[in-house]
Amino acid sequence: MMRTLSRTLFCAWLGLFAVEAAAAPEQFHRRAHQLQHEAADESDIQAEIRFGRDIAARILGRLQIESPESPRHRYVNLVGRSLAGFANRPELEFRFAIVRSEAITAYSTPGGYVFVTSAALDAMTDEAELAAVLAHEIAHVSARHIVKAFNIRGNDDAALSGVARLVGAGQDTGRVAFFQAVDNAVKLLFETGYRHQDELEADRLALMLLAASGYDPQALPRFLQRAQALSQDPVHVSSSHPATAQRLSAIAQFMEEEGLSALTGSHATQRFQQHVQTL
Amino acid sequence: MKRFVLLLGLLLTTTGASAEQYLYILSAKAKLMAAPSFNSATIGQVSKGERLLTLEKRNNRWFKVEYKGKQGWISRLAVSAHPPVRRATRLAGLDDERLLNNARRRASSVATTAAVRGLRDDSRSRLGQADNRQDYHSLALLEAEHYSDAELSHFLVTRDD
Repeated sequence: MMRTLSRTLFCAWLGLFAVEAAAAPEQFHRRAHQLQHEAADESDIQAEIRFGRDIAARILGRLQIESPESPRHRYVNLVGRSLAGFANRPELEFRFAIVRSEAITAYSTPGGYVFVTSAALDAMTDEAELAAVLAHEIAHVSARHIVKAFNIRGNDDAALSGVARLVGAGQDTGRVAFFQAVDNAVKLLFETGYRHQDELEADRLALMLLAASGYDPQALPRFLQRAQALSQDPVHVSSSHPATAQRLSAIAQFMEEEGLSALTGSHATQRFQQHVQTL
Repeated sequence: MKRFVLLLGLLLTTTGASAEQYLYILSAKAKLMAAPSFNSATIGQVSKGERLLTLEKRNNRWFKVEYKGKQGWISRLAVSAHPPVRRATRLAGLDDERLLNNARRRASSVATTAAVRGLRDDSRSRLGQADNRQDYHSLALLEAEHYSDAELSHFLVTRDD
């Protein structure tokens, strides 16, 4: 009796082992792929910040920053930083600024530097719309879209890696390659735009951020529609985004699937008007 | 009998190891929902760093989890398979003077290295263009700012409508 039970258990264990072993290669690849993107160690994070910092300095070299002393600069930071608390990048300190530009748009760089243009701010009607635009940019940072595009990692021997190379001790070729990546990232932000699927993912994550933080998720499609209508040159709004109509359609579908359409959230219109529109 | 106990142990260990997967909360706070939807009822709040046992995954967007004896759903937005790492507020050994010097070295290194290796033909002609300017001074002003957690929490809870 005991011997039969033992044999049965042994067979069951062998069976389980076989199932796990058969599934292992696929799972291993999937896990390895996930780990590559998720398990950023401290040197990766330092490389990401260093890379993003350089891109941010280039953005500020092109577009004049609105004084960090201004009340609305502080207000934009309070909205952005409290939103960023709901994202999954606690290792980053997000920083926000308003830059002077007639283009209705926003930019973000790895490491958590986010810039919204004065024209975009002027086109908004409430805090939820500001939160929507900032959430979309936080999502690009959070999902490491630029980092993945240029494979910025700190702990391998690739030409683009190595904080030490960047700071000056490394070889010229390594530094040049790094700065070429910065050039390309600036080009991505101002000319070519993110990959189509990255833009759509940033929209989805932004909607989730809005819902998690208690803002009305409808603010995102609402602002996109207004920005498109306000912009005489549609390139200003959509140069780094897939066609607005396509984004709006994907947003509507996602909101329906996730039950976000029925969600009521804060607009904080009064507070927005007090801080932004009185100037 | 000894062999039976051994095999039983082996079986339990194998199944246990493959079933248990954990997620960590990375956002400041995360809501535990009754269903995989932001529109469902909130049944609890989980703080950053907490570990949750994963029971099910839905659409790659929601995880069914167990936390302190309660089962609920959590958005993938707030979680990771890895515990949070500490915040990198300031890069080690970084100062703006060094960066400005580095920017100057950069111009030199791009010109010389590109010239020698032909890495980028347009690099030299681009040097000095307005689009290549870097403003580390404004960046340093942004980085000097500080907002406390208490201020951010207060800001969120004092929203009108």
